[in-house]
Amino acid sequence: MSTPSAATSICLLALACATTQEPYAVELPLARAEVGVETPPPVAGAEHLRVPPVSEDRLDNGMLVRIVERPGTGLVSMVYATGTARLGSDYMSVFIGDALLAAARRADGTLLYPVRVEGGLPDVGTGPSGTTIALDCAARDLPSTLELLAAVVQRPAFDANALVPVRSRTRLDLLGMSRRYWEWSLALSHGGRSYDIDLDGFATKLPSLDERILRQAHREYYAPEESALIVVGDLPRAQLLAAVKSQFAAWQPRERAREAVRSRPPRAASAPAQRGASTPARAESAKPRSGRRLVIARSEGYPSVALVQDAPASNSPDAVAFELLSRLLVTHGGSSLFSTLRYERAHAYAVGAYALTVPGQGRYLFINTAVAAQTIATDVSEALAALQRLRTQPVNDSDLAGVKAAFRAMLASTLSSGEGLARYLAKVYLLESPALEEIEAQLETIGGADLQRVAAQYLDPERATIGVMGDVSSALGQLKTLGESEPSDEPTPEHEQGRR
Amino acid sequence: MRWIRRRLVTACALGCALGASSASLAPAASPGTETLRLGNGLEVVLSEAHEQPIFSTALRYRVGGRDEPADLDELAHLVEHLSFRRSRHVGHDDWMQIAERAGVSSNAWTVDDDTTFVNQGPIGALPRILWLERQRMAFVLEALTAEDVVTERRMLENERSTVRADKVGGEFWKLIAASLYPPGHPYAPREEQGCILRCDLRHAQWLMQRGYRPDNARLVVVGDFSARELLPSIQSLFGSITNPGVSMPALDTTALRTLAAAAPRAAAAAPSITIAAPVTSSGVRLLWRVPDALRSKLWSLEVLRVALELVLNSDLIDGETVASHIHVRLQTLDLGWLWSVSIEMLPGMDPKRVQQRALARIAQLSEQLLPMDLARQNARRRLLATWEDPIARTELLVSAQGVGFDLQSALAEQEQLSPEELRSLAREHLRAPPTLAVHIRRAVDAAWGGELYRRAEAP
Repeated sequence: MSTPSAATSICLLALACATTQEPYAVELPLARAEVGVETPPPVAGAEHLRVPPVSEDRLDNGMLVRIVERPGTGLVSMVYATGTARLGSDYMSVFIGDALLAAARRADGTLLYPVRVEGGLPDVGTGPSGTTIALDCAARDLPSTLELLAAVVQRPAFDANALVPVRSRTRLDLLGMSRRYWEWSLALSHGGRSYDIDLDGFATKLPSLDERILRQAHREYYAPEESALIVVGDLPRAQLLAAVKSQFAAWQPRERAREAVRSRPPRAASAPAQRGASTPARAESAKPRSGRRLVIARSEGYPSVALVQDAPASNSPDAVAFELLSRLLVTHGGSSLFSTLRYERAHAYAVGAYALTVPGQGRYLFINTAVAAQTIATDVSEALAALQRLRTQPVNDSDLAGVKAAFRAMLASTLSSGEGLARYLAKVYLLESPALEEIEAQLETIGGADLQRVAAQYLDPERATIGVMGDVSSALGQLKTLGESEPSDEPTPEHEQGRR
Repeated sequence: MRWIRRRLVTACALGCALGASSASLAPAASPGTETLRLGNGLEVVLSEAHEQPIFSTALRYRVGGRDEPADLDELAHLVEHLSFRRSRHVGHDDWMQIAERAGVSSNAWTVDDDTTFVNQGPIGALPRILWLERQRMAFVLEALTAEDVVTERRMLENERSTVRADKVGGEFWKLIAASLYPPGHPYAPREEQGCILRCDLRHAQWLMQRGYRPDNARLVVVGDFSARELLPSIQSLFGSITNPGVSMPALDTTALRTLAAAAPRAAAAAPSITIAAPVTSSGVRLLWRVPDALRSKLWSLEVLRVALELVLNSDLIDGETVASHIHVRLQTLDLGWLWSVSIEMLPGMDPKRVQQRALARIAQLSEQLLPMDLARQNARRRLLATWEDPIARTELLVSAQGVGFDLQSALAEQEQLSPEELRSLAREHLRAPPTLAVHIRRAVDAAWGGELYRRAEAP
């Protein structure tokens, strides 16, 4: 073994001293000794979604029942769905949905209060397509849980005392709807209508909604022939169906629908039937609009941006292709907005896209991000350019394969649990989502040309509505080159003096 | 994409008692689950889930905000961001495209105790993602550049600006942390404005070298694969990665717990603080520190958590109707566990009265009958539902302490818990007074959105 020279020793000693005295010293070398070039492994071909068999039955009263056996979990997930209790501008259906869970009566008339499953509340949600009530339980608790669900849906008590916290919570929810106000108002502006959502009015009339009004609304919204029950559970199908029948078969349909019930065939999940709230049709009173529109809500805070575009109805034949498009636009394309704004420009840490249905108006795509005022105009221009690229340039094969795989994986993740599967099947019933088989069929056949066609139909940067919220005083001049701004966005002396 | 930093992690209680590690493949502790520790110290958990052809991974490094030098707030978060930019074998800004073109969604977050990288996607992309995680562990450090540091500092400022827009959330938690942890404690809030600008390349290299190493990490993979068949790939990709000779300075956890016990800094007789903030609902938060000696029986504590939620819901929502939502959490932070009871009140309620009522009910837990069966059923169902969902299962397994999570043992522990044991846990953990009580009062009557609506209607 040779000994290092004196010079080398001094250098090594100096280095050792430096690394031990320096507070952020690192051990050198930083690079590992492994040699060779590594490349990403190939990706195996995408596997199809595993779609479980779904049995379908219709009770004599018209109620649809869909059942999936899911052995080995010990759990049952169920979702009740009705398409008649839809979110509208007056919020009544939402309030009724919450009120159902306040108190109910069993079939023998006894009061069921509080309404809880294993101590927890069922999960009720109301949207533009309808209302769902979701429950999970252990398989052995199915009878009592179904009894509770049946009581809530069929025999709500609307007890005045039990409704006190519901009214309070609703008022709080309405106050918290500021974000939804903003989204809806942008969407309406995009559609050429003025702001006309009266959520404040509903908050005002809450105290006057007495039992008579609530019962009338309940009769309108909840009827077996307009309902479905999805059950996914670790029990034999026959046992699940028998349990459902024991609680729901005696539910009387509405008088006027009674004669029609028996002759109605089961609704096909993939039928492209349109519901009023899901269609993109514009109200006749809407004024036609051309050109871009700019809506600015000035407030304190970091600027956030929303770009609004048309979107197909959630049950449209174009829905799957549009979903792929929005992912390509934002995250999964080689030149996606996320790639550009986050990595190339380092202007935005997040870019997102989602579709939103405004009751009675249509469905819209929101592309949103948050960027500094100094760069907001150039970043919005980039987003508009990205929309135009999707319209005019074909999608390459690797991007198409990637976005299909991502969409399929996202859906598969939802279907991995009983709760996820039950909720998804409820969305299919409410025509919020295509049937799983239809999605798979479309994913097999959709090509780049299809995406370009759908992009040309729905995405139009020249008709975008650009919503900006936050402190953008320094960028107003630049922003106004992007579109025609709303008169109400012009600064007023009162606004300038009383800045929040 | 979401990179967020959360102080006081609010996840559900997860984990099991520390157990001896094993270098060899352990027998399945939970159905279809294999756990082991590689020769370089990397903990690996492979859990099969065959419902759908997908996978979910989580790679957690036990380095986070608490490891940052006091004047370099957000350094750990910066390193998390940097780890996505490039490596020896991944070009500048190609990382996310390599994942996304395979149909994979990726995310990451940094909290006080650790930094976690997660991926979900089609099973055919799993080898690629494991390769990317190998890149992060072994080949990113050498590729970090000063230019990338400048870029990601700007991104952190952007991210923080959007979070600061929610002033209530950020300020609220800062206030809570300041009350629980005095200056100098790793969990104490620090000066944020401009801190990130002091972080440079050498700081990032320092923290990454010490923190992103096999013996400081836990890899969990859940999905439609055979654990036995996947293991050789894991060993090949990660087993050869060596640990550096330097490590993160050790925290004197005993001293820190003593330091923390001296807080809250408000009057000892009434350790409460009041926030007046523009929120839409008022509330009460009650927090208890958990003594070190009681940091065990995690799955029994989950039953206690559920029982507590049940009785408070019954009393304050269904009974007295003073509250609209109640959440109970057990935060299993490395430097001390915390019970947290959050009560969202209905308008017009007095927080002092609600607090008194809640504490009275909690005190009764240790003496009266508890909803034992309900709590146990609820806890069991939640655990089974978590196990059923691959992504939730991944988070459960990566949060587990030690080298094994045993589903059957956790269920058995809950099943065998007696009412007297549950009351005893309530007595020990939730003694009066709480460590800290916070009252939140509304300061404005309407959210800004209502104001926007009215302004838009004006001619």
